[in-house]
Order: sequence, then C-alpha cells, then structure tokens
Amino acid sequence: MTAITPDFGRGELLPPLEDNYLTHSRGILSWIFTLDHKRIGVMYLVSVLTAFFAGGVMAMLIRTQLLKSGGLIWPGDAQQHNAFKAYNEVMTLHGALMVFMVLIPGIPGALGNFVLPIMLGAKDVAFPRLNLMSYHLYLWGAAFAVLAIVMGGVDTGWTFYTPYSVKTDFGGVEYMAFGVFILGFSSIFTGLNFIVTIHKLRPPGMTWFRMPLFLWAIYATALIQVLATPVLGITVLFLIFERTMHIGIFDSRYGGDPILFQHFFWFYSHPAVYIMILPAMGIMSEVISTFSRRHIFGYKLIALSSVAIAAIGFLVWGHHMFPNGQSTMIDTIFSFLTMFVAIPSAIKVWNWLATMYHGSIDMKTPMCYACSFLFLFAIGGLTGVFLGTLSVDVHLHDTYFVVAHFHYVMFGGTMIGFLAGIHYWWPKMTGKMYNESLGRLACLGVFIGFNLTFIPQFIMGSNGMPRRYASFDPMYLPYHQLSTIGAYIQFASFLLIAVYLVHSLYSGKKAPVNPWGAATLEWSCCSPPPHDNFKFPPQVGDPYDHDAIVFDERLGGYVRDESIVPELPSNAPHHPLTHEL
Amino acid sequence: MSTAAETHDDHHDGHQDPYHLAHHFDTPQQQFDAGKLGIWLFLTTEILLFSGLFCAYAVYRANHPEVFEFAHLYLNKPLGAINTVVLLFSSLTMAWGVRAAQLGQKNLLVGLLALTILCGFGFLGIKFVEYRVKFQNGELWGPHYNPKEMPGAAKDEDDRAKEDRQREAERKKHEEAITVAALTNTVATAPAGYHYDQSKYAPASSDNVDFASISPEWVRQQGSDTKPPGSIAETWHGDPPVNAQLFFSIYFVMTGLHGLHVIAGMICIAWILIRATKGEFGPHYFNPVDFVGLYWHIVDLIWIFLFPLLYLIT
Amino acid sequence: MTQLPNILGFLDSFLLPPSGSSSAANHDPVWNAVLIITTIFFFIVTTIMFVFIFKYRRRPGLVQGSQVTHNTPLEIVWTLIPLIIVMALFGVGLKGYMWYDKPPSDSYTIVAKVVSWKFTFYYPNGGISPYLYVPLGSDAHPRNIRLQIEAEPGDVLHAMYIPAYRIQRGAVPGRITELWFNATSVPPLHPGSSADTPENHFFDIFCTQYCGEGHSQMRSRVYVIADEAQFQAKLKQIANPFVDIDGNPLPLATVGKNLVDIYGCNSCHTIDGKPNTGPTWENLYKRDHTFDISNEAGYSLKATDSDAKWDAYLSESIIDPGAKIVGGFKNAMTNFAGQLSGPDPNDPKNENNRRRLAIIEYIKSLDHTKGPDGKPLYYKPAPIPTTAPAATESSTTQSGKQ
Repeated sequence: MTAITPDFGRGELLPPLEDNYLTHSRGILSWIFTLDHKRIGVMYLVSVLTAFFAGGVMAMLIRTQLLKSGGLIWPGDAQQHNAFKAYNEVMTLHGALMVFMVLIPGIPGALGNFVLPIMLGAKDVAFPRLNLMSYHLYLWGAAFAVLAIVMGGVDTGWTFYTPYSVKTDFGGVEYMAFGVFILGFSSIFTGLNFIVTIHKLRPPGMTWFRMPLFLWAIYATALIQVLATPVLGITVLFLIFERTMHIGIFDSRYGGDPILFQHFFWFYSHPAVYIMILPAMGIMSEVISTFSRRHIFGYKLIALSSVAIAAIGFLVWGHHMFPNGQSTMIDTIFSFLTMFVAIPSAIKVWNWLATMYHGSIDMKTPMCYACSFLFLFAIGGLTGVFLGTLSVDVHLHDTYFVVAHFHYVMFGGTMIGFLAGIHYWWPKMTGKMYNESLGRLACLGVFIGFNLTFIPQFIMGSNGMPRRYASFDPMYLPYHQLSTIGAYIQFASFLLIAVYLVHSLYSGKKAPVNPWGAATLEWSCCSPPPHDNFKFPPQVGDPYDHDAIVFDERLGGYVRDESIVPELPSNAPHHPLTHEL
Repeated sequence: MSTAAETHDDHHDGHQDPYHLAHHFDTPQQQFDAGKLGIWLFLTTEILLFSGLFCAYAVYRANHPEVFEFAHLYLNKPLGAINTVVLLFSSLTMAWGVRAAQLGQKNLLVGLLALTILCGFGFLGIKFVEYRVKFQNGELWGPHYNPKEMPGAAKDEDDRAKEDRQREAERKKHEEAITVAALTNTVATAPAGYHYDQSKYAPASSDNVDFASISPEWVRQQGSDTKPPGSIAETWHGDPPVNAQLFFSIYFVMTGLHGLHVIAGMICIAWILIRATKGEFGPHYFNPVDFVGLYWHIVDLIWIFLFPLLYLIT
Repeated sequence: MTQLPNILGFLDSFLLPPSGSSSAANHDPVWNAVLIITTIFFFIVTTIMFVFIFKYRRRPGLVQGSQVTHNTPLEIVWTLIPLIIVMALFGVGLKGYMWYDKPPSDSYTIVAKVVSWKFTFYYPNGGISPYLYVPLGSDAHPRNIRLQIEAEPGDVLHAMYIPAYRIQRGAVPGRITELWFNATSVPPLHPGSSADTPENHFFDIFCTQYCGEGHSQMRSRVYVIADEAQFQAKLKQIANPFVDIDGNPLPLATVGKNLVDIYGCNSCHTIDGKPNTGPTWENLYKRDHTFDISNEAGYSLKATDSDAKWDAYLSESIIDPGAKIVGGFKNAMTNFAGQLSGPDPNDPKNENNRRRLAIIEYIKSLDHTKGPDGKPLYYKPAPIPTTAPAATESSTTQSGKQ
C-alpha cells in the first residue's frame, strides 16, 4: 500500500472550516449521545475545568480562613471548635474534588480523548460507546459528590481514614464514597479504551517506538488506571459497608484493624499520583521538543521510564504510613523502593533539558508552562526525597511540608502540564488562537503566585506546623499570610486565563493547521479536525523530525516541505492489517 | 460488554452488515482482537477488585486463625459443594455455547445459554437458603453477631446447663484477675520522699513485652461480651474465640459481592440470549458470546477460590 | 556528630524548630545532607534551563546545531549518579531511623493517653497531667523518656508530634505505640508568649493525624525541668493535686480547677457562660433546673433545695451523667465513675472521691450570686486543711482506665 501524502502544500489554501467535528451535527442530544472522541474530550475539558474552579474556590476559603491564627472565617479555640467543622468540610471537598474530578480524569479525559486517536492516526478510540459511558459515569460521580454535600457533607479529608470516616456524623460520607466508586469506573474504562486503542488501532508503519511520547505516557497511565483503580473500588465499598452495616472490618473492637484501610487506600492512591503526573510528562515531551525545534533526546529511555514509573509506583504505597504504627522492616522496604521511583523521573528531566540544548527555543505560552513545569516539578520531586528518607519523614510526616510537596508535584506538575497541553492543543481543538501576551502574563502570574503560596508552607512545615489545621499557633502566622497572598495572585491569574481563552472562542485569530511546527500526526489534519479525523490515511514518519516542517508566511503556520522526502520505516509491514500485540 | 457491535455510521447500506463492523475498524479481525483485549483487561480489573477482598481475608486469617477455624463451622459444606458443581457445569454450558455460536448452531446456542442462566438461578437459590439460615440464627457480622447456638451438634439440656455453669464460673475468675493494677504494674502510692526507682516501672523496650498483661482494662475486656450462649460443640473444644464475627464480615462481603457479579453475568447472558434468538451470531460474528463467556468463567473462577477458603478450612 | 558549616546552621535556624533533644541531634545531620543535595540538584536543573532559554532563544540568524538524540555515556552517568545518591540517602535515613527505633532499656516510661481531643499523661507515681514534665538529660548522662501511647478502642486515629524533638508516632485504637527521647536542653521562651515565666518555656506537642473538629486544638506541652530536685517535686505535686509545688495545701476550689484541666471537663463545659456541648458552670450552682430525662419521676432541682440535695445531684452528674439530662442538652457526657468515684462513692478517704469533691467545690465557686452584703450568697469555700493531706490510695485512677 503506497502512502498517500495529504496535500497541504504551498499551492493550496486552507480547507474551508465547515464540516469539522464541532459543526458536524447540531443540538444538545448530538453532544450527550455523541460517539466522537473529540466531542467527548471537549465535554471532559469543560467538566474538569468546572470542577477545578469549584476546588479552587474551596482552596481560597481555606487560605482565607488561615489568615488568622484562630481562624478568620470560622473562628474557634480549645473549648469551642464547632465552627471548624465547616472548615473540615471545605478542606475535604478541596481534596476530593481536585483529586478525583480534576487531576485523575483531567489530562487523559480531556486531552487524551481528543488527541490520542488523531495523534495515533486512527479514526476513533477502540470502544467509542465505552468512551461515552466513561464520560457519563464521570457526571454521575460528580452528581454523587454534590449529593454528598446535600446529605450532610463530608469532613473526613480526601483520604477517608478509618475510624474517623466511620464514626463521623457527617451524613455525606457514604455518598461521596459511592461517587468515588463511580468515578473509579469512569477512570478504568478510559484506561481500558486507551490500552486497546494503542495496541490494536495503530496505522501501518507506526511501531511502538515510532509513537509520540505523549501516547507512551497515556499508555503507561492507562495501565495504572486499569490495574490500580479496582483496588480503590473495593476500598470504598468496604468503607460504605463499614459505615452502613457495621461489618467491623476496620474497627478494633470487633477484631478489625484501622491501618488495613490505609494499606488498601494507598495501594491505589499512590499509583494514582502517577496517573496524574505521567500524562503531564508526556505533554512536556511534546511541547519541549516542538518549541525547541529539536528531536526529543533519549526517546527510548523516556518511553520506557514512563512504564518503569508505572511499575515501580505500585510498590511504594507504604511511604504514606511510615509513623502510623507499622513495623520497622516494612518501613525500610518501602523507603528503599521509594528511592528507586525517583530515578525515572530524574531521567526524564535530564532528557528534556538535553532536548533544549542547541535548540531554537520559542517561548510561546505552552513553552512558558513547560519551563514552569521543569522548575516546579524539580522542587516537588526533590522535596519528595526528604519524605522518603526515613528519619527525616518522622519529623515531616503530616506537616505542611507534605502539603507543599504534593502541591508542587500535583499542581506544579500535573496542572501546569495540563495548562501547557490546553494552550498547545487549543488551536487544534477550537480552530482559534488566543492572545499570546496575555497567555504569557498569566503563566508568570501563576508561577509567581504558586511559589509564593507554597514555599512558606515548606518552611512552616519543617518548623512543625501540622496539616489539616483550622487554627494554629500564632508563631506560624507570617507564613500563612504570605501563602494566602500567593493564593490570591494565582486565583487572579486563573481568572485571566479563563477570560482570554473564552474570548479567543469568539474573536480569536483563525488557527492554521500547524501553528507551532510540530511533527506529530494531529498537526496534519485541519484545525478543528473533521469528524473522521483524516481525509486521507496519515503518513507515518518520525514524530519528532522537525527538519521537514517549515514555516509558511502566507498561511501563518507550518507545512511539510515536499522536497524533503521523509523516510519510511524499513520494517513497515507489507500486509497493513497485521496488528500484533 | 465492551465491543462496538453495530455500525453507527451515517452512510450505511440498507441491509445489516453481517460482520457488525464498526466504522473505525479496518477489518472484522481487528475488531475481534480489540474486543478480546478489552474484555481481558476488564477481567483483570475484576480480579483486582476481588484481590482486595482476598487480601483482607489473608491478613485477618493470619492474625486470627482461630476465628476462621471456629466460625467456618457454621457454614454448610454440602450446599457449598453443590454450588461449586453448579457453577462449574454452567461454565461448561457457556463454553459449549461459544462453540455453538462459532459453528452457527443457533438452537443449540439458545438452549445452552438458557441452561447457563438456569444454573445461575440455582446458584443464587442455594445462596439464598444459606443466607436465610444465617440471618435466622444470628450468624452475622459486627454488632449483629449473636448466634443462637454453637456450630455442630447440641447436647442435651442437663449437659448444657452444667457447661453453662462451668463457663460462668470461669468467666468470673477471669474478670477478677482483670481488676489488678494497670499499666505500670504497681498500685501507685506516692511515697513520701519520692525517688527515682526504675525497677517498678514498665519495661522500656517493647520487645518481649506482654502487652496484654500490662495494658489497660479495655484491652482485656475486649472479648468478654462476645461469647455466644449455648453448649460446647463437639467439633470445637473450649470457649469460642473472641471476635468470631470478623469471619462473617468477610464471608458476607465476599459472597455478597460475588453474588452481585453472578446476577450481572446472568443479565448479560440474557441479553446475548435474546440476540441469539434473533440469529445475530454465526461464524462471521460471535464476539459478544465469546466475551460474555469469558466474564462468566471469571465469575466461576472466583467462586472456585472462595469455596475452599471459606468452607474448607481445616 | 560532625561539625557542620555555618551556612547550614543559619538555614536550620529558620527552617527547623530549636533542637531540644538527642533525637533532634540524630535527625538534623540527615536533614542537612538531604537539604544540601536537593538544593544542589535544584540549582543544576534550573540554571541549565534558564541558560538554555536565553542562549538558544529563537532569533534570526540562530544556527541550530546538529540534532543529537542519544549519548549513551551521558545517559548512563545521569542515571547512575542520582541512583547512588538516593541510595546513600536511604542508608543514612535508615541508620538514623534504626538508632531511634528502640527505646533504651533505662527509659522512664510515661503513658500518654490520646483521646479526642486531648493528651493526658499518666506518670508512674499515679499522677495525671495534661502536660508532659520531663527531667533534663545530656548526651553523657541521658535521662531517656519513653512515651507509651495509647488510644481508646472506640476512638479515631491520632498522632503525637513533638517538632522540637523531631519525633512523631500515630496513636491507633487497638495498638500501643511508643516514642522516646532524651531532653538535652530547656526549651526557650515560646514564641508569642506574653511574659517570660517558667510556664512559657515549653515545646509544643501537636496532634498530626486528622481527627475531626478538635484536631487543630489538640495540643500539649513539654516542660523540661533542669534541677533534679525540682523535677521530683513536680512529680510529687502532679501525683497529689491537693498541694502546691512546695507541699502546701491548696484551697479546694483551686484543686478542682486544676483537676478540670486534667479530666478535660472544660472541653464541654465553659466557665464564662458561653454555650457548649454541656451546661456552662458559671452560675450553675443553686439555680432552678429542669430536666428532659430523669431517673426519678418528678425530680426537680431548685435554687432553694438543700445543700445535700445539690451535692448529691452534682456527684451523680459526674458518676452517672445519663441519669438526669438538663433541658436542651444531649446525653453526650463520658461516664467518670471509674476515675472520680471509689467503690463506695461516699468514702471520704478514697482519692477519687476527694477529687470529685474538689471539682464540685470548683463548680460551686463559679456561682457569682452576691448577697446583700456583697459576699457570695451560696458558695461557702471549704476551709483549707492545715496539714498537707497525704496522697491516699488511688487504686482506680491508673493510666489507661476509662
């Protein structure tokens, strides 16, 4: 089968904008019951960003409360701490919304769904109806979360530790737990879909090591989603049974063990943090190589390190429980394994830096976010080393140091990666360009605000400030005040991002097919893509070969230079329909 | 449960495509391979879901073996064995049904699927009987554990009364022993001229410490109110262990969740059955039968593990 | 311990709390090692990044070098070196952890009962206190203290954290855990203290495992007493709340006030009229009360009732709180029969009974009704005993009992 080159050469104008996936059919039902992965991705994006906003409001409430040592919004003291119940609920919702409704489904659901089939060169994911079901399950999970608030609220912390989660008289716990159960299945089905798609729907010529690294990252993420999330499922089921039927499995009065819950919970929740970070790292590989116009350095190692992180990530859950009463031997084993999981991440960072070496770096908004990621993820990962070191963790466990650490990796890592991805693929998804100056300004605002929020938290944590406190000893006041100022700066920056992105939908410049000069397949179909993704089967080449991509002034974007013949892989199969595992 | 079985493309012909090929697949073989991988991944998640339960079982059995050895005597082994045979047989009929679909033997397929569902009902019926007995006898979880009798044969009235008196006496002695001084092994009187005398105090290292003897009263009291009344069983010697209800917590969650999966499987098979009666399956297309069959085998396999672990503890 | 460069000492002075024990001295060098290494790597990564952003910024005339995609020796180096470093850190961390793991055999054990939402320390001599009093030790002559942490079976998870000593451990219902330390310095003045008194020289104890609405207020203090004789005297005073530190008898209401801190009455009963879980004690004595629930039909309590009836009611409220519930409140009070009542509640020699009477005296003292002469109308303070009462048998107020 000869490869057909899509002809967006210099002689042709841009294809007309009608009949893209957005205009293909109309009406709300065509969205609710769509089987188009691109529409599902867009719906995920809107839902996830809505949840992010809700979680962000919770965060602002938390930080505002902590402006005063006795609590600003909900004051209390040693005798009267009834008002802190409201704080505890806000704190729980912040964590639960952010983890379960933003970070875990975020990049795979919103960007993965949209980009994966196109980047792969396929027409859709393997199971489009399952994909739609994943999204509907997400909405049902969200509905149960809202129901939980209505039915009495949740104040257990997003970790639902027993016995408190069994004993608390906040009535929403079982509803939130069930909502998490449903969201877990949304995650499982998404992961299942992605694994099968990548295994079975690759076009001829795209071998495993010709896939873009974002797809490797999504693949590793999907493996974790499928293997780890069921354990979360059984954990929340246990919690619901314990709470509603008193089965006693976590109650020491009936022979149960509260620490068993923690083992079950973290067996999922540690791999879950790799579900959060791996896709963001995949985006980094794409963005950094594109905006440096350089082939990614160390492709194979980055690809394999994604899978290594997924694998090792299953072995380290006990490091969340070091001082909780387990034996020294277990602590030793988990600390040892935790140190290993740092290495693949470090390898990636070196590879990205090496990619920038002798590049031609254009600091567009996605690249600004990518550089923020490098900075913030470095801090997050390195502070993890403190926590993995046993004798230091005894001091830092459950203090604000931990809070700062995980915000650096989850927010400074995943969310910044998510923002980079949104800004990177925005022209492709919407067909519009946003205001570049505002984009960079908001990135700077987020960066500065973020560091101002969380660096004081490291310091007060190592000085002994415990986490999940609604009030605190006045000696920590200056740190909290700085932290809150940073939070407000961030909030303002996020509002700015929302403003210019929405504005671009109405008045943004029309986006060319390939505004950034990337070489992966999604940049060879129109912006926005047509319903079936490709008018012609895409030609598979090296996803990071920028030599053949040149800028065309007239189009305002990049095109493939026809005089440079891309080399076809020598091992391209003759029978194009053989799909080996 | 996860294949795209019908085309949803706008521009498709009037007649039904016998291969049920979805628009995003190139060939029926690719569609089948994708579906197969998909169902295996889903089954992996099911195994992981149950593995959490097996883990809880393992942890508690390792820490409290006597609880499992005692409480499993309440289970009805013959009924459990019948259930095992029923499920194994249903796996046979299901696998045979897949073969029938592959060969295009529609009537045989419909019959076998119906038989499989019937076996499912049989399984659920027996489980219902077992559950009913337990609910009636108070052999339940957590705070609801209040068994009417000990497992095994009951003795006659006089023996029972004598053994009750014996146990009451032993219990009283045990309670008196408890009210000895607490943690630091001393009845503390602050002597005049207090001095720092290490020898009186609790051992500093937690190695070799018998926490039960120095720990507060509540630890010792933990088991004292969970002894069931009734006679001593012939197959269990001595007092029943404390926290026997833990076994039933595990039992009901495991078999309950398994039962829910059996029901879900039966619903899927019923759906396949309806489609089979319409003649949708044949050598060109039997994916759904194959995949639902795989699911049913996993459900059976889980029971194969549950049965010996719960019923056959020696 | 090796000599550390001054820069680290400067950093640690604001990154870490003041160091107060040998466990802190065990922790801090490891912390410093991790700090140095991670800071170096942070600067390497960010400096390279900023240099590249500037040096290779896209501009007309920039000639891109060749597209190198592999460099195996470099990749091996940057994998192995971090691996060796983190393994070394693991080893150092493990060493520190193992040093800390077992309390030395000569440790002095104090039981820490951790209950929502307070810490209570039970001393070997029978004393009970909300604060931790320990003697000062040194590296050469350690005075090792072992805290035996106990949680209640129906309660939730807690943890005990002493930042100054860099130690924490979870309190798990159904398990007993332990912490140990050797206090090597007297705490400095606690930041934010109003006056420089001995009471304000302490280290914080925090609860770090989220446990509900009282979590952020679940705190205690470590007092380190340098002088051995003073430490003994303090222990004696804790064991016998009826005397002050010099052995002089205290007024009964003051004793009651101190006991209220120990038994935690103030977590539900205010003394200034503010509403809380239980009735406020201010102006409680000799006021009319109505009861939602009562074990005696037709029971009522009036301002004009006899002293004896009031004493009986107040005693019963402590020993059997569910018997009568004041209107508007729930039956939520812990039963203190084990701690504040002897086998015979009326035995005047029983220590528990005496403590209960002291608390009742304190409740009475909070009645501010003044008579026409300006003196308290109902409350007549009990006479202060002339001789120090000996600490009597307190068989049931041992550590750990509910």
